[in-house]
Amino acid sequence: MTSRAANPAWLFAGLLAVSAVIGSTVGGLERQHPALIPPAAAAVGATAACLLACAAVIPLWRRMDEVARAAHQSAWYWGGSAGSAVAGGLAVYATRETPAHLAALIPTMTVNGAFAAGVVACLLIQVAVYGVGWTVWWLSKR
Amino acid sequence: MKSKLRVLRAERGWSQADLAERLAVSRQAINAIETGKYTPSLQLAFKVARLFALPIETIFSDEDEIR
Repeated sequence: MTSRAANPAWLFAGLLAVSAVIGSTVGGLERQHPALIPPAAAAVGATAACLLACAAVIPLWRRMDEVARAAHQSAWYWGGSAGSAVAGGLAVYATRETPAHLAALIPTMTVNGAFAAGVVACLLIQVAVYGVGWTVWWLSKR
Repeated sequence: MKSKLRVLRAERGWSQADLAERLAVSRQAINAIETGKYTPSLQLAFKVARLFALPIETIFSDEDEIR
């Protein structure tokens, strides 16, 4: 039997939790002291964190069996593609609506913040639809 | 893809979890293969054949051959 510590899903959940703590800590510091981290350093740091996250997934991927991999590959293609389609539709919607309407969603939104929120929203939508695709794949194999 | 995995497993008194452990895959993977909803890779098919000491074609067959 696989222990929790050796289970890729638990390891991944742990990595997500650690990432969330680090991200929220750095984000909090950045909000309180905007000049603390130069923009270029923040961009490099965020990119490095994403690359590290990709590298951290490699051992998890290698430990998965081929069926679990097939589920993720299907979810990546179909979920990611459908997520992009949904995000694209929302982007078109956003260009047609008045900025005031969008600003009402996040009252303190600046132009930079709106752009970043749009990028993050696209990623979140893709991840959400990825999850749907992954679930549908496994349900179809039951 | 049809397989005789369920029969061969039952003959040995193994549960899906037992077979999964022997093949180093998940129980869900065994279930998906047994129900014909997932076609195993050649690598896994060979592994199954070695485990049961049978030729691959004895264990797996495609739909057209069944008809």
